[in-house]
Amino acid sequence: MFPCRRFLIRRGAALLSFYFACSVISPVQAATVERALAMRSTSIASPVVENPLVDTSRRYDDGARWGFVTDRQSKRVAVIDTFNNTHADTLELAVIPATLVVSDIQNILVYADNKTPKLYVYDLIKHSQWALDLDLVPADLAFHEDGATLAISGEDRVVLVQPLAKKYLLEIDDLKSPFSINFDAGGYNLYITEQQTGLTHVWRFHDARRSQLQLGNGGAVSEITLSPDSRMALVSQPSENSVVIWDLMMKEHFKTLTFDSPAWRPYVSSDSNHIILATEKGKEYVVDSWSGEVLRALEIGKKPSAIRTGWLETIGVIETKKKLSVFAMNEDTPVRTFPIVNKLNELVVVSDSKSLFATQEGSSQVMVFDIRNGKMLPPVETGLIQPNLMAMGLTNTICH
Amino acid sequence: MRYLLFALALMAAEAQADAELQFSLHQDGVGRVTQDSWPGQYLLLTVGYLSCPDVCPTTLWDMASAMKILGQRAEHITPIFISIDPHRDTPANIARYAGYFDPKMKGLAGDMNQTKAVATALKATFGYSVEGRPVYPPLPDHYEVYHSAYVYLYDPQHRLLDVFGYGTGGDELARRIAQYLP
Repeated sequence: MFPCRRFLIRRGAALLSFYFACSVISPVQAATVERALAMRSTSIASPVVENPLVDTSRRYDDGARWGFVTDRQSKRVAVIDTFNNTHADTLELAVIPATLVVSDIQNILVYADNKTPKLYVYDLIKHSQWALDLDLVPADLAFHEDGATLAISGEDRVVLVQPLAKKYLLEIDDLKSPFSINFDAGGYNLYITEQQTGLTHVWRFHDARRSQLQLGNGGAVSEITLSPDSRMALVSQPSENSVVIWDLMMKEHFKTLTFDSPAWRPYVSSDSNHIILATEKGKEYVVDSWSGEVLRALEIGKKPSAIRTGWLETIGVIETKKKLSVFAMNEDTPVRTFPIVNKLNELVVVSDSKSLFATQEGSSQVMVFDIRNGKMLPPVETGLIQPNLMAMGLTNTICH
Repeated sequence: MRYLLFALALMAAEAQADAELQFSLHQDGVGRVTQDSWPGQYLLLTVGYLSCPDVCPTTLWDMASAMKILGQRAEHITPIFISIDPHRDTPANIARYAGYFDPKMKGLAGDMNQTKAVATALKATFGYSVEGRPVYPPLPDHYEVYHSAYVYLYDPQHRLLDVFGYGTGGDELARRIAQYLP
């Protein structure tokens, strides 16, 4: 769901050991939440803007089919038909998006420019758009499972809004930036991980109960990865060259894996059975998520920049400099490599797990890779100057 | 301990993930059925559970729509809905539910071991949770179910022809399935 753009490498001095602290929301906090609800549950939309450039007969309400590719240098969005690998349409947004998410339930595209205190919404059925005025500048966006509620991270807090209903719900404060926001798969909890310390605030959605979880030793961590089955929380801890795995069911530390160099943000396959890890110095590992044992150790390439899985979660894909490496997760078969000319910006594996789409630096085309058959397909020309973000309502990738 | 046992069971299942389609389940009014119970038929399968609020009915609707669109060519296909919640679903109620979508659609259920086995053969994922945390059999009274939502097409020799993601839609499903039919 989210690109791995917040991976921080910072050598922290703190030497806190693991701990788990759980606290019920205090009466003061509860009162704050209630006040926020009472004060801000009003519609704050600016006038709706009709978009004259699009064919309104086009309904982009199929989350598994339509991919939305933004342009770093214009307000245009290319609509990609991932069923037929074609460029279907071009939409015009209000600003150039720096972050973008799609609700497959409400058929809206929600984005922000990360400069102004506004949230922008594009209705993918009516092709109308509006803006919500916020009192924070959005850094990141995360849709709840219900497709209606959106978490927005700001400098020191998170706000929850309903973009289609145009409602501002509440805020979660007392956070130290930078932090990442991730809902677990069922939307029960919002995980807010302070990336310079690993302190993770777990905000329970249905009753606003807030607890804390310390991931790592108190130093900088990567963005958290939640396994799709909500069993594990993982972070990379660059100062220790390690990856910490927390067992959310048993509420205890499960395993710490140590490597020769910092690991990229951990990746968990969408069936939750495999953890894929890749280090700066070019060691890659497939780890059984149940036992913590390494199933495959590979040497693909240095400086990984993306990890994905697909074709019913038997195939791993790792991007390193100038190449895409494709390997079987369960079989000791040779790794296949595919040269890539341009660095990939954002990679999306579609919901049937058979294809990977990626925006490329320095190219107006979206790369298409057939994971099932292990071959590059003809790229899709977007007509954009510099394709940047790519979002879909439904993908094979959860929490990345 | 039960967590460990379930985990080990899933690990064992994972090791056989590339096996061809094999299952042994129960069909109401028929008894035990396997992948060989519909000879000469293409099998169009998905997994889910009876009380699924959105994903399962949407997927079954897509499958039923595809069958209608395919018309006579659908005679080559048997659509099957397999329960991954055997704790609550019975062969009778899952069969009745599947039949609401398409009279030809079979609803099958098994015990937990049979369910794990067919999920393994399909490379499907399922599990149970309470308030966002996984739970494992024996299950509590109230729990939620999560599962993958693929639709699988197998040929009459039980070879996997294709897999379709959630949200593919009846039209596209029919178009893609048609490519494989005689």
